[in-house]
Amino acid sequence: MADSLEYRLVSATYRDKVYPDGVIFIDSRGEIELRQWTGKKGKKVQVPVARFRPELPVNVMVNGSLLKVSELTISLESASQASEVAEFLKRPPRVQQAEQVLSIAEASVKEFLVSREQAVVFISRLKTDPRGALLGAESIWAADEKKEPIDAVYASYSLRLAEAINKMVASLGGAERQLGPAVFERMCALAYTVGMAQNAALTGAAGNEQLFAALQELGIAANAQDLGSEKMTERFLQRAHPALVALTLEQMLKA
Amino acid sequence: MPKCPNGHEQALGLKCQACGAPISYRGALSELSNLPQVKPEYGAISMLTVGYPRLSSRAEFVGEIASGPTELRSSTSFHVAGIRGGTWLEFSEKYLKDLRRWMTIVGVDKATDRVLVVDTTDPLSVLALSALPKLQRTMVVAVTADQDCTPVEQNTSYVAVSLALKKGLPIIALSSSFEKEMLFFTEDRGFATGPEAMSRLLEPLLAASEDLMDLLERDLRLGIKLHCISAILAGSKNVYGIATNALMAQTYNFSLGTKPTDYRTVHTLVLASKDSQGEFEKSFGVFRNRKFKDALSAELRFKETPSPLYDMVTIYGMKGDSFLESIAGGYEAIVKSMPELNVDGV
Repeated sequence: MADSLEYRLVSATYRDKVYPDGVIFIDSRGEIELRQWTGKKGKKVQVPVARFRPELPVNVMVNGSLLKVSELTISLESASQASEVAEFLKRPPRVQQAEQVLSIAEASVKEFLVSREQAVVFISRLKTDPRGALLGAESIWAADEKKEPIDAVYASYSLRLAEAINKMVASLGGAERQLGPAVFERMCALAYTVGMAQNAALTGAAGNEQLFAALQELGIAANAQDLGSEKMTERFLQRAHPALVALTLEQMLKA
Repeated sequence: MPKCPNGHEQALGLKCQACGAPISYRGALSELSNLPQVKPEYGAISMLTVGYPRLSSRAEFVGEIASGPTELRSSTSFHVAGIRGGTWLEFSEKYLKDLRRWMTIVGVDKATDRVLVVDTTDPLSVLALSALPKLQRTMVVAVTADQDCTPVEQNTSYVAVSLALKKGLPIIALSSSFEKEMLFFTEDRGFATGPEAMSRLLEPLLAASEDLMDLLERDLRLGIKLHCISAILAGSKNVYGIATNALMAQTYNFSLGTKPTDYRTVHTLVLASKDSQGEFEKSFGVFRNRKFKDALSAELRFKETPSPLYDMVTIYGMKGDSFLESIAGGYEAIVKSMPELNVDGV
């Protein structure tokens, strides 16, 4: 289905002003633009005369080829066109809602991965400057002095991350109900794959081709320089966003 | 691990490479709670200093235990707030727990070899030796009290050295007078005295730490924990002539004023150019026969260096109690008036 709509009008009335002919254009966000033809014959161009976004939920009334939305009443060339416009206008709230749900799901993945990235940065420092790193994490060890400091820090991070994973999965569960299992699975794949990229940045293990290919499948173009770079996680998630939106819309249309 | 509905496990990717089914990550997310294990780099040698601020060293880690106007903790410093007129006991009571924590955090036990450079007349020396865990491959380079020191210093030194011996830590001892008068000269760096001379003396010890630890541990098995030292740094044939002369010359300046009969073992570390190895080895045999014929153990360890000058350090294993006897008077004088400063109180 198209992400915008444009139809020639027989007539239109907007805020009590009558327009004998014209064009209605509705964009992907549900914004309506009423256009008039101006200019000499053969050189006519469309000029917007009104633009507005109907309040949500959009209240559309259709009677044959006549359609009324907010303060705009239009007469289209056929009843089927009026019906199609009505259907299109009703779509945006669902898309918007889906985007909102997706945004919440993405935020929960981001929250988890960013906190994990901080843990990875700490572990990275532990490798090169164990004394300074552990002194900075003394309070973590203080809570569990029976363990070696490094073991205590690992255990603490592991516990915190396990809690963060549960929180993320709970949030993704909400998204699964509204967006479907495919989007849920994709979010899980994203979280896991970026998590593996964080690990690779830390260990510097060779053979990252498989990782880069997996990231690419998620819409994340990455190379060796990206691994371990500043704010890697945030940047990877930004790169993955368009593919997630596309998948979400695809799933909505399927539904 | 992520897997497809048919149970094929796969590290990454959206489609199963075996059957083409979509890979599910739902069950694999819990793996993300585990962080990769790393091996922290603690280095080969860690050195702790007490009473020697800003000692320069080739050790990968130098931690400083000192007192100052305020408490300070960093990855390289454990500074306690000074206690006016404070004895070793007061510092130990106040800071022992904190210092043990700090030592654990900075991984004193994690480096391969450990060196504690300590002025045992400093009240913090007892604190440091109390907190130091009993570890293999650990040596104490100790500046010890002598007859020029006050009874309070002798008491502190007596307790600190007793504590190290009780823990089975090998000690290389330098009397306070020897340390004050220690002077080295090299053409490139000029004269070194005080902490700089101590830094210079430590250079060959740390450079040959593996050999040194080996010799000290062997002496420990013979029941020898205390050593004194003599050294020639940046020596040359022009100054000392043949190697035997150099070996003999160094015995005129021992770090502890004890009788030759107190020496039980003698070990020399030589850091020199390869071509001189044969001469040093041969000369060491002559040196041992002339001066230390009754030594239980005597060995020369040679370490090749590119420099045309050589460093020679000899450690002499001693009867443990001979040194303590020399400062027992001062120790007991203090214990008489302050019984809590008894060595058993540590």
